[in-house]
Amino acid sequence: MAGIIGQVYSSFISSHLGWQYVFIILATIYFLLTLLMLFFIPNLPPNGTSVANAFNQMRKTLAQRSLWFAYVVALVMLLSFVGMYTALGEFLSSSLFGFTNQQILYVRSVGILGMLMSLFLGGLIRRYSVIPILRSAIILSAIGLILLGFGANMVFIIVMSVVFVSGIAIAIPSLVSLVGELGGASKGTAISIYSVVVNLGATIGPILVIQLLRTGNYILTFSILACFLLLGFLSTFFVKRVSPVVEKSIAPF
Amino acid sequence: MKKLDKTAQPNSFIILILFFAGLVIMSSLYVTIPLIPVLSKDFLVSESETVWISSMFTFCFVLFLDAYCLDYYQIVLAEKNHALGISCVNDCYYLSRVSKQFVLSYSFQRNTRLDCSYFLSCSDSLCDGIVPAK
Repeated sequence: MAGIIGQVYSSFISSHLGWQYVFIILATIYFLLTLLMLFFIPNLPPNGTSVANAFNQMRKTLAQRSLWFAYVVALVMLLSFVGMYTALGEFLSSSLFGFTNQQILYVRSVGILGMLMSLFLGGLIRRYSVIPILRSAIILSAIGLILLGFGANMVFIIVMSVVFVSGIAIAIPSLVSLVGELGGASKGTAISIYSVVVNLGATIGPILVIQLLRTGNYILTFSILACFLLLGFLSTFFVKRVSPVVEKSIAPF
Repeated sequence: MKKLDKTAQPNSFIILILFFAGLVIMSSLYVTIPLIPVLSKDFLVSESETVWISSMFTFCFVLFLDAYCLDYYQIVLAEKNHALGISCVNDCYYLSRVSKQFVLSYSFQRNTRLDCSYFLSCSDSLCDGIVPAK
């Protein structure tokens, strides 16, 4: 959600008020939130473990092979998501389309429709198991991404960006539940490491895409991002789920 | 420390604050994406240099927030996912309250980011998936 809302917010504000206001308004919101948090959220006594404990758990958690492969998927997911939106702005404002900022804003905001796909995830997971869903979501995203590069008109591009975002919107929550499941007892630690990896993906994404865009070839850029997704797809085959017993306790969402 | 009063605190209000805080905190990672061309024009630098704004921000975010988010803090839940408040590991206890809650709302959002449905329906898995019950 934040991925799309953040972008729509900043392109809206920067085209109406100027980019400085993007940060000024956000700062005001943060200040208000600070007050809200101070007054409305109770602070409970510490929970009895220590930081050293958490680090020890981290070592134990990382000993699991399957988790590493799940982290590869996490890395490529966010890398392609952030990368795709970085490239999309350039793509649409380039001489191929010559979209105005306003039109690009529309394309970005329609992505929210794709995010709504995660609404159906609960039902999907009940019916099928997590890994097949994850795989098909990755493939869906990759197809959306490749076709995006071939886009010739606005409708096609919008539809493909929704397809891409839907894939991501399904894949990420199922990945979180998979990582949590693989983590077992140290579920929290496994998910913390997952967050680190996901954000690393978001760090690399824009740098990579800007380098790729230097070639001026959008099809190539989107296809390389799709290749990263396929790498994630392949690594799902190395994820071994712990036991069917665990599956039963996790699956009913 | 404020005493926990289960009857006085509307728990869904706490969840709402955490959700909204998480949403705007996470947004800060993405606001620079559409700004890349704007900033590179204003500061007369190339886009490949401008892109470091977003990447460095995210990287520092990884170091300072992710590295100590989920396992150190927890939302303490009553039955049926009602958030009661924030707890943390012993060592972090004297950290400022606000920063602690920001970290928590961040982790709250991190894992529901694409998944508001679970939030809206407040299903069991929502908080179960987010916060390792210890």
